[in-house]
Amino acid sequence: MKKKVLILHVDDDPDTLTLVHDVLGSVYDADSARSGKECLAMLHKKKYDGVLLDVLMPDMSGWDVYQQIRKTDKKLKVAFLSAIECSKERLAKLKKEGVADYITKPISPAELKKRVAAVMKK
Amino acid sequence: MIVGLLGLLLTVFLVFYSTIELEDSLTSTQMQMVGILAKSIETDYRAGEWPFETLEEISKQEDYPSFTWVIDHNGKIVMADNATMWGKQIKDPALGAEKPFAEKRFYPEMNGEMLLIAYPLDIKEQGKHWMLYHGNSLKPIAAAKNKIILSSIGFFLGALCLAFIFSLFLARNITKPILELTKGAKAVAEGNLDYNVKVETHDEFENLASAFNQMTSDLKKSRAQLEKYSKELEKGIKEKTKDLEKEKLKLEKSEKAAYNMMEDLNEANKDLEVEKKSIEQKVRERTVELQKAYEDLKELDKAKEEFISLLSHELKTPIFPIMGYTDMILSGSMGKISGKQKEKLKIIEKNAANLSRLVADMLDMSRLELKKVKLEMDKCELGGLAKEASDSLALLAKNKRVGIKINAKEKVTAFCDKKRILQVIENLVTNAVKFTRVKGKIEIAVSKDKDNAKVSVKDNGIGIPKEKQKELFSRFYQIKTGIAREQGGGVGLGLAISKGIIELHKGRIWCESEKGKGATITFTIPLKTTKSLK
Repeated sequence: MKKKVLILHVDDDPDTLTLVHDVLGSVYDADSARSGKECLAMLHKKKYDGVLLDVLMPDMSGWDVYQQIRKTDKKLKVAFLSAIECSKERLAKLKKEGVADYITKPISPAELKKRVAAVMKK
Repeated sequence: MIVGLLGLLLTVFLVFYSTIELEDSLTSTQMQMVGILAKSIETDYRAGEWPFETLEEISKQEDYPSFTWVIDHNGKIVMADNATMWGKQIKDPALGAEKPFAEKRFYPEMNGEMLLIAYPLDIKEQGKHWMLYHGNSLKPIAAAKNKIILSSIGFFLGALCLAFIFSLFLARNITKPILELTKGAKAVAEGNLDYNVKVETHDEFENLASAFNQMTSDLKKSRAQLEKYSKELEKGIKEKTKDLEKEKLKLEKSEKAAYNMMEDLNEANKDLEVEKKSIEQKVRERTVELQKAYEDLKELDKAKEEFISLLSHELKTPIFPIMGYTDMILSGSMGKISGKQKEKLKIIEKNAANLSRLVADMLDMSRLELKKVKLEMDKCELGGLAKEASDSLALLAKNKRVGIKINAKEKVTAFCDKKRILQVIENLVTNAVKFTRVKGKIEIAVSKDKDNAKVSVKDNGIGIPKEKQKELFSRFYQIKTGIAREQGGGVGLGLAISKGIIELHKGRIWCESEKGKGATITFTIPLKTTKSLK
């Protein structure tokens, strides 16, 4: 059996976490983290292929988490999944920094699958 | 006078000069004669003869008294023309002179002045020459002199007479007319223009005189004219002066009035100054207040933006699982569902979508109001954009059985934010679908209008009454007018947002409608636009 791709989703809203897990669970091994700190801790324990980060979270913003990840890992595929819209210019800037994609909520399950697949293929 | 004096001088000079000339010529002839005589005496003497008769002969030839003596070395007259003089002793320091000489001497016995020629003979005894003395009276010279004087005087007097006659002629023919003309000129100079010069000489003077008279009469005419002008001028000046005096009086009056007015103005100015100061003070106070109010408003705006931003995030968060799970259940991936369940799930899906749209619109509206929306400008073909909008709303239109037609006869490429313009067209079409009757028709027309791209969305619905057309683009129009619910949701932010977006593009949006005949909403945006857009 082919080894499944491991993805970590970080969001402070449990229902969102469940939905994304349900959507992506059929394709990937998906783990969930409730906060930025938890995400960083889990990244220490396990080797993930990709991380899906919410932006607006109580303890650490998705952006802060991303900076922490890049301190130790330059290759890990990281994309944002947020309700905050992102302009083209900002997206270009983020991509230059090494962000794989920026996905805006709400998004249909089918669309989400497509976008994540595109990120993981790269 | 001068001529007379000159004549006299000339005469005197002539007399004097002719006398000298006469004396000189006498002296030289006498000298020659005496020389010849001397030679003859010398020859005779050597021959041992005495030319006594020769001497006598000479004396007889003379008209006037004369004498001829031969004087020996002792000064004794040894021979003379007059026998009485024989043997007489002469005392003369000139005796024994080596050369002949002439001299005027006075001899009482001869009754007057004589010209003496002394000639030394070539006979020497004891180292001394014998001398030949010949004297001649000067009377003929005097006579000649008198004659000259007389004739000179005669000539002088004749000349004087001639001069007098000539001057008389001059006076008559030249001087008189000149004097007359001078008199005339003087008269004219003194201002007497009536003076008539009378010259009848039948020559140039008469011509001159008549020309002079002509000139005088012309002058008289000119002067008369000048006097006339002068009088008129004087009259004019007098009248003007009168007028000016009147004006001056008027001016003085108005000056006084102006002065009074100035006084009043000064007074008013002072009052105004006081007023101004108090107003300035008030303005300063108001400015401070306004500054504070502005700061407060800015603060408020920032808070509002933060609030809406947070609110939309908080609203979107629950919408995501609602829509996601509805979608998943409807797709059948969570197990089989009945037709009734599917029907109700569709209602959830539609409302969630409406809610999601409302949240997005609210956020948009807030950002447009705070000018936080940044356009992403690019080249974009608007016909294609209309097609895209029509495609994305095809399902909505199909549900209401409304036909959407695109009328784009040419490619219209504008420089704009593609996403935002698409949003505008979608808003307009959505509205059109909402307010069109079932089986209605919608037309999207794309064209060029000068330097602008023009897009209009036309429906054949119920139309919009004139008085409501202005309000159409204000926020929450549909809620305020109470038509939102019955037309299937939406709060009416769409047109307000569209207006904001079009205005950001430096374009224009407006509505044309007649009640019952449908409505057309049109917007224009510049084809080419500067990059200064926000």
